[in-house]
This record gives sequence, C-alpha cells and structure tokens, in this order.
Amino acid sequence: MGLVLHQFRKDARQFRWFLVVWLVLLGLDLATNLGWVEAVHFDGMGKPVYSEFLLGAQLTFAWVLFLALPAVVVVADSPARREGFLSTRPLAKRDWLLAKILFITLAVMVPAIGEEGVYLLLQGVPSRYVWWGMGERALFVVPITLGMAAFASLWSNYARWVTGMVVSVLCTFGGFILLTFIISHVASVPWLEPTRETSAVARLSGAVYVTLAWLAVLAFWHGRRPGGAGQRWSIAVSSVVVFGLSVGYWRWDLAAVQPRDPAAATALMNQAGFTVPLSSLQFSQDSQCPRDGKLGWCVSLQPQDGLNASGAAVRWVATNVVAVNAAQAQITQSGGAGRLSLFDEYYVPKPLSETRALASLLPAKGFIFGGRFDFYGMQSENSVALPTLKVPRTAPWLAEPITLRAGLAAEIFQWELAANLPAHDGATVADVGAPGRWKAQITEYFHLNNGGSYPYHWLVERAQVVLATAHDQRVDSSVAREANLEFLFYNPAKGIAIRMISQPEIGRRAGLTAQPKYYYALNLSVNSGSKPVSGELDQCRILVFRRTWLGTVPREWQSPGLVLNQVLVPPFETSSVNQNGISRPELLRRMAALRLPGANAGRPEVATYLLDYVRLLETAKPTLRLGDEVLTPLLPLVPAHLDVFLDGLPAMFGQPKSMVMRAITLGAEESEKPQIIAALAQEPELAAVVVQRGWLAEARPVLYQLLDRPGQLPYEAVQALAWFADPVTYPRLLENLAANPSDAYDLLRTLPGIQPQLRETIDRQWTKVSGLVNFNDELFHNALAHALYEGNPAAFREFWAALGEQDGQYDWWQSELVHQHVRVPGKLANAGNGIPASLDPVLAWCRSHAADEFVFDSVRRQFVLKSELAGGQLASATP
Amino acid sequence: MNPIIEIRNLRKQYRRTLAVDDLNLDVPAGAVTAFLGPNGAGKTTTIKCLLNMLTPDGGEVRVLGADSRRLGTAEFQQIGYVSENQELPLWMTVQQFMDYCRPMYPTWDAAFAAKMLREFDLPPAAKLKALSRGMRMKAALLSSLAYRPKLVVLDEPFSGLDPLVRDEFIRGMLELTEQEGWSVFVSSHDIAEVERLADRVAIIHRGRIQLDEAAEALMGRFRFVEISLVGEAVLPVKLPANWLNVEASGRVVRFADAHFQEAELATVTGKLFPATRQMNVTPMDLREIFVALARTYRLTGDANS
Repeated sequence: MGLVLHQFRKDARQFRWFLVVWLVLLGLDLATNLGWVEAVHFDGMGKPVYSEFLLGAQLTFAWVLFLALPAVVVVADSPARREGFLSTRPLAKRDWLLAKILFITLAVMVPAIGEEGVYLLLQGVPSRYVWWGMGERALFVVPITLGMAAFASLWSNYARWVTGMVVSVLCTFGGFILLTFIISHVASVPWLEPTRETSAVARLSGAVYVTLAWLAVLAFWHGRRPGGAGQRWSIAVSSVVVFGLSVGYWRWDLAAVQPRDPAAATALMNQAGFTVPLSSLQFSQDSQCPRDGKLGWCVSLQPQDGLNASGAAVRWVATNVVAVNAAQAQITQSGGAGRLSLFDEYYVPKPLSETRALASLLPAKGFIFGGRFDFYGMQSENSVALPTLKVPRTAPWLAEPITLRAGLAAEIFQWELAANLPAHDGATVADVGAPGRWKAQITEYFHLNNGGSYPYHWLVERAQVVLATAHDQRVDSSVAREANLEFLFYNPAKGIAIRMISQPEIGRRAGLTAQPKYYYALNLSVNSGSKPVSGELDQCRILVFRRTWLGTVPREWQSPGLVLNQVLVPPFETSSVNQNGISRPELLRRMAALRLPGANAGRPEVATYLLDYVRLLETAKPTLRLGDEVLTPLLPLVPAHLDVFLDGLPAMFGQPKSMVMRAITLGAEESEKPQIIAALAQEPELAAVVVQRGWLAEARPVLYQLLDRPGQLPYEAVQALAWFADPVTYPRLLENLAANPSDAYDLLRTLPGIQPQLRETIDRQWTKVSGLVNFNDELFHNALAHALYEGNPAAFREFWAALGEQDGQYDWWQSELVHQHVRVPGKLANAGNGIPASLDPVLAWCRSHAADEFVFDSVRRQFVLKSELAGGQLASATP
Repeated sequence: MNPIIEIRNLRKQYRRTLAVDDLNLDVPAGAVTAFLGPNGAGKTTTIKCLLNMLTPDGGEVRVLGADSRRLGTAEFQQIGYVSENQELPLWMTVQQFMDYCRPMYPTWDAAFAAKMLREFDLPPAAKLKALSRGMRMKAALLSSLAYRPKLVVLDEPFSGLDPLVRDEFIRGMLELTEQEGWSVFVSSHDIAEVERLADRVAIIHRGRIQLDEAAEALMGRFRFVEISLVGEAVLPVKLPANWLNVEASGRVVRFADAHFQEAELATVTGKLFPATRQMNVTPMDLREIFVALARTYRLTGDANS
C-alpha cells in the first residue's frame, strides 16, 4: 500500500496544474449551473441570451480535461513504454494499477460526482434525488474515465495515444457509416422506434459499458502479454467496432417510452366510444404518377369520440388498412405502422381536441383566446390518413363495391397543470406533478413603436428533476418538451387565457445532471386597449400545462360499401390561388382567340377546346366576378358534347368548375336530363344543375343515394336534398353540417321537424370549439354564429368576454357578429353605408354591460338587454 | 558459482528480421562482462529480453535464478539498469528523482547515494530535463546503484558522452565494482572504453554469440604479426586457420594470430615465408581484436577461431 500511495503522490505532483485547472473549471461549471455567473438574460432587442462564448469555452475545456486527465496520467507511466522508467523498477503492476485508479478516482471521479451532489443540494432537491443524481453521474463518469485510462494503457507516448484516439474516432464514424450502408442495403433494419426519437442516452451508456468491458479485458491481456503495434491497433479497432455495433444494433431500450396508465386510457376510450362520420371520409389519389402502372390512393377520415374527461385528448393514428370485396376476400392491403405523435414539431398546430382539453383545465371556466399571433391557430379535428394502397389501374374491382377495414389506434393524452406561476420577476412555484420548480426569471416590457407588438417578454426557468435511468430521454428531449408543454397567459379578471408566443426551448443548463434547467422565452402580444393595467398584471398568471401519454387503445373500423371509381378524386398538382391573374379584357380577348370547334367536331377537338377554356379561366384573377358572358362560346357545345363536359368535371375545381357547371345548366337539353342525373353519383355538385333546371323530383333516387356516399356533401347537394324536407335525410344533412359549419345551416334551419336535432347539432358543434376563441378562423366563426343564432348562452358568454381582445386588425368579424346577434342601440348600429366596419363605436357600449344582462329573444333571434325587453315572454334560458 | 545470467537458445524476431538467433550465454557473477557487437548485432534486444522488456520468441533466460518473463519486484530490487534510451521522469529534480526511487528499494543506502551525488557533482535542485546528457546518465546511474544491486546492466552507457564524462563514469564503475563485487553486464560498441572495465568479453554478431571468453585470456592469445620479407610478398594458398585478416603489401605480410604460440608461429612462418627478413609480434588491445574478428565474421559469416 505504501508504494501505491507513493505512486499516487507522484502522479498528483506531476499533474498538479492539470488538477488545479480541472477543479477551477468544475467550480465555474457549478457556479454557472447555480446561476451565480453567466446568468441567462435578455439582450437589448429582447432576445434571450443564454450562452456566452466563455461559457462554451469553459465547458469545452472541462470536457477535454475530464476525458484527457485519466488518459495522460496513464500514458505517463504506460505499461506499453518498453523503455519506460518503471519497466525495470520494482513497482508491481498491481500497485501501479491501484495507484492510477486511486488518482483517477480522487482527482476526476470524486470531484465530478461531488459537483453534482453540491449542485443538487444547493438547489434544494430532496435528498433521495441528490443520491440518485450522484449515482447517475457516477454511472456516466466511471466507465468514461476507466475506459479512457484503459485505452491509454495501450500507447507508449502521448503522440501515439493522440494518433490512436484520432484513428479510433475516425474508424468509429467511418465504420458506422459503412455498416449502415451495407446493412441498409442488405436488410431492412428498423432504425427508428415507433416513436420519433430513440433512447440515445440509454444506447450510448450501454455501449460504453460494453466497450469498457471489452477494452478492459484486452488491455489486461495486453499488459500480461505485451505485443507490438499490431496488437495495440487490433485492440483499438476492435473496441471501435464493438462500440459501433452496440450503439447501432443492440436494442438498449432501457427506458423505452411507456404509457403512464394504459388501463385508464382503455377505460376512457371504452366510455367515450368512437364513430367515423361518413361525411368525414375523403378519398384521394397520389399526385405522382407511379411508374409501375399502379394507382395509389388513400383515405382520410375524422374519428369522433365522446371523450370528455378533464384535460384528456385523443390523437388518432392509422396502423393499417385492408380492402375486401363483397365476398369478404382480401383484395389488397397496406404496409407500415402509424407513428406515435408524441413529438410533433414545435410549429405544428395542435388539433382542436387538445386545445379543448387545455381549456377544460382553466380556472373558473376560462377560455383560450387565439389572437392574431396565435401561430397554433385552430386546427380542425384530427384527420387520420390511412396508409396508401396501390392497385392496378385496370383492376376490375375499381368499379365494384368494396369495404375497407382499418386498424386505428387512439393515443390518449392527458394535459395537466404543471405550474401556476405569478407573472412577475422572480416568482417561483413548485411543479405540480413532478419534482422541480418554475421561475419567472425576468419580466420585461418593450415599448415598440409599431403599435405594441410583443410587448411583454418573460424568461422562464424550469428546474426539473430528470433522472436518466427513470425517464425516457425521448420524452425529455428538447423536441418532446416543446411539443408537450403549453404556456398560457391567464387574466383572472377576464377569465381569458392567451397562448404565449414561445420560442422553442432556448437553452438548457446543467447538462448531465439530475436537475437540468430549461429556459423558455415567452412573448405576449396584447391589444393596447386590452393590456393589463399595473395592478391587474400582478394578479395575472403564467399557466404551464404539461402533456403526458396515457396510453394507446387499438380500435378497428370498417367502412360502408363504396365504389372507388365513384369516390376517388383526381389529384391536383396545386390548388394555390393565382393572385396575379389576367384582367377581364385580357381574359375575354384570349377567350375569343381560342379556335372554336366546328359543328361536326369530334370528341378530341371538343375536349381540347374545353381544356384550353378551363386553363384560361384558371389564369383569371380570383377577384373577377365572371358573368354569363364568358359562357357564350361553351353553350353551343353542351348539347352535342355533354359527355365531354361531364367527364371533365371531376378534374376541375373552383371558379372554372362553377362556370362549366353553369354552362351545363344553361346549355343542356331536356333530353339530357337522365344523363346528368345519372352523373350525380360521381359528381354531386351537379345537384346545382338539377336544382336550377327543376329536375329534383326525377333526381330523387340518385340524390338519396348520395346520403350513403362517403365524404362531405357539397352545398349544392345539400340544397337539393333539403328541398325534399324529408326527415329521412336529416341525420345525414346534420352530420354534414356538424363536420363543417357553413352556409348550409341557413338551408337546414327552416326545414320542418328538424328541431331539436338541429339545436343539438349546433350545441355539439359549439362544444367542440368552445374553450378557444379565435375570430380569425372560419370554423370558429361559423360555429359561434350558429350557436348565437340558436341562443346558446354559453356561446354568448364566451363571445362577450372575448370582445375587443383582438388587436384591431380582424375585428370585422366581431363587428358582424355583434350587429347580427346583439340588439345594439340604434345610433350605434350603422357606422356608414349601413355596413358596420369597425367594432370601436360599439365596443365601449358592449363593455359597459355584462353578459348576464342579456337574454335571448327567440323572435328576433338576438340577444337583448333584459331591461329593453318590453313585457312579453322571455325568449329562452337566461344567459 | 552459478552464472548470474543464463541465456539458452534465445530467439527474437522482428517481422522478417531475426534479431537474436539461438543465442547462448552465461554471465558469471562478480565480474564485468562486456557484451560487444556491431550496430544491429542484437545487443539491445538481448538485454531487453533478459529484463523482460521484450518477450522472447524462443529460448529461456534466467536472471538471478528467475525466469526473465517472471521477474518481479524482488528481482528488480537487485537489478540496476541504465540505458541510453531509458526514459527518465524529466519533470523531476534530481532530489525528487532520488526521493521517488528510494521507497522502491529496501536496501537503498542514503549515505551512499549522497556520496555519489557529490562525486557525480549532480545539482539536487536541478530538473532532469535541464541537465546535459552526461549528467542525466549520471543521475540514472546513481538511481540504479544507490541500493547496491547485485546485477548492473548497462546498455550503451557511453553513447553521447564526452571523453571527460566517460572517464569519470568508468572510473566510478571501476571503483564500485572493485569495492562491492557487483556483477556488471555492459553492452557497447565503444570497445576502447569497455576494455578498461571488462573481465569477460562476449561478442555477438548477427544475433549469435561468436565469442565468449575472459578478457585476459582473449588478449593473451591474440597477437598482431607483421612479417617483413626479402622479396615481394606472395601469400600462400593455404594459410593457418588461426591467422585472421592476412594481407600482403609490398614486402610485408600482416595478420592477427588468434591462437598465438611463439614457437609454433616461428615454425609456421618459417615454412610459409622462408624469405622472412624480420617478424614483429605485438599484443592487440580489445578493440583491435574485435575489429579483426568482425572483419572475419563479415567475410565468413561465422567464427573460425
């Protein structure tokens, strides 16, 4: 033992300056993690600055020393040195080894592990996490240091050690790439887990341990039977190969993504149930023409579930789909599995169901306000695309009834409140559901001259206990954290929560620790008129919500019978609107220049003319209101070549399609009625022709067949079916309306006997969108308008509370809703030309009255002040 | 007395080069054995094998009675090794160096070390990297002798040393070997310096021992012979095997007699060179003997004498 300590003292004296620098850097790292130096702050432009060059350099040098110190102390007296001083001295190899391990332990491992312990203690983390964190630091430190030392023992001097390191690193990358290339071409290796990210840390840690064991055995063998350079390089290269294989191909899913509570998820789905409305089915072809002569197509659908648990939301994923014929024989099937959507990119809007789940967690029935800068917007319900199927283009069953059987998976997510943080400097709260704390580190108000964009900035620090051995790194990766957190600015005085504009996680401190710190930069854009006053701001809160994956529940779905040729929509290369179209005179001039087919023209000539005609219409400015004058060249062609027009309709859209449809309406002869009615099944928009020509009675059978047609019924078809006022049609029409609140509401609300189902549909529709107010969104606007028209009191309350919160640019819709659904005093009703252009004149009046002062007048179908309701009965339930 | 180093059929190969080929040698205890050979003969390889710095490919080496591949602390505590290529901890001062070595040797004689420190004139506070090559060799020697080893192995100890330092070094070694009775195994191609030390000489050539003999006996049997003839010197076809490097120049014939016997020499020269006018016989020093043998080895590839 005496010689062990003697050798240790020699090493300590020889590398004393290394040790000094190493300990200083460790101390600096600790001080940085604690925020004593290099604190995160905002620069003059409101941009968060979370790392300086010095900080990066300090970390770099610390890492270099951490990796190099165990190696240099071994290389100094390496057993590979044949002319080394100790090679002919009476120092037993055991004593030498113990001395080196003692040095590495006391000089490298203990300080590195101790730093973590000190940091966690000073952070006030519970003691069990302090020990756990130190243990995890040791799990990382021990194999790295011993591995570096073992590797160093192979080399006789520093130059060779450096060469060995460089070559080994190059071999690692090069060999890894080569193996990847070979194996990816030989066999299909599933690189990615079903989730987007792999447990990289677990893999690396496992690979390090395997490699260390391999290296230690070989280094020991090398020490016992020392060989030449060939032996050393063989050891180095073999270690590299072992490391690469372990990382790449050994499944080290030590902490695979696990659902939090699969039983609860299953129970929720069993209770909620699900349906797939027929109207939500959308069939589409691949826009790329496959070279193998096959037709690629897929189906998207919108499962509707009854999940109403607080904070719970469903994301649907499709796993596979099989097509079967009438005899239940399989025709074709897809491959591939759906992916868990736990790690959406930051800017992908969240679906409405998740926003609704968030809103259900707000205190006191608050709602989320989606302002102009709400980049998340309001995503429509989760639309699921089934895997693509490919079939031969000449397959006979394309014209026969088939059924689709799809495997779906309902991924149940649970949003929970993580922190209710006061919105002022230095406010700190404990995390509600996990060990850790949140801190509003900095609050700054930037008064900019452009009208108050991004006035408030917060720098929020999150100190979270994250244990590498008890958490899935995929869940705690930066991508996952961004996707699984939501920040809302909540004003309790108004009950409004506003989505913060947050940059993705802007920084992280204290790496490789049980309590890393994450930094988020939050920006709040508020209307100058709705900016919280000073006292009010003190009451405001930054609400942080966290999403966890509860579990995934598989479900099966079977479609109704359908004929692909009838439901497949041709692919459109682009559906973008041409904002720089040609003018009306130019359009008419070019139209006149087209060579009109002669009286005896054949189908190809007519089809070519029609194609040129439609293309010309597509180049027109979208704002042009084209009248029947542009139809003049087409009308003579319709009677003789109706088949060309009908065949071309599925490939048209927008204004050109409308014009062609109008041409058919005006130009078709009475004798062609059966042909047009028959084409309804394939082209429901032809219902416009049927309606305008008065052929509804004859078209009734075909129109009724549309009730069973998958996909959204066009307005024209709804209009035609509504004409019959047949309760048999109501369920499908209401389903259509529920999927897409639109002008069809005006068609349906007057149908006899459609209430109370219509009211139920409207209320259900409102429930789906409630909790998020976003006047920019047509879906929300229509749902709100319908709910107000039906006198929904909850909708009115939410609408009333959100008035004026918009920052001025899109208040036209608010103004329209106010004037349509609220009885406004006469002098404020019309501000010029009879069209209300601005909310401002009435806003003050609106704010002077609370929502509960109004009552719904079912006659006028407006909300009126109770005080203005002169006698008579109260219209509906009091708001 | 058992040899302190026994080498039997030692073999060591570097890729395609056979550095040591079936080498056999016994190094007696209590004597200074000079291990001579030209560059690349295999001297350093042999030394490294006997100190377990290299693993032999064949044969057996025993040092202090122990297998060289199992030399442990007990053996190394009795062995002192100094080499021109030895890596010293240059960051240490001389004193630190001594203090570092001392605990490894139970027999470390501090007074002796201090005495050598004075005699070698080594500055204790100077870092080893600041010392000249010669001073470093002295420091290395001091660290290898202070514990009075039974066996001292020196590999090219004079390489790069100036004549004064060499002289001091050799005088020091002579004194110590006389006083302490150590066994010394010194390899060098600097024969003139080794001659003063050596009790025994072993010559290695192309990995094989060509000669292993007591220095005195060796120098006793070698003579340089110069024969002056009356007429032009013509060398006979057949010459005695013990005549080495025979050359004729004008009227003079010169050669080295590897087994000198006065009477026999006179008889043989009288027969071969009847017209001998004069014959001079002079002793040869070790260097001259080595050169003569080396030339012979180069020509014949093996020892004939």
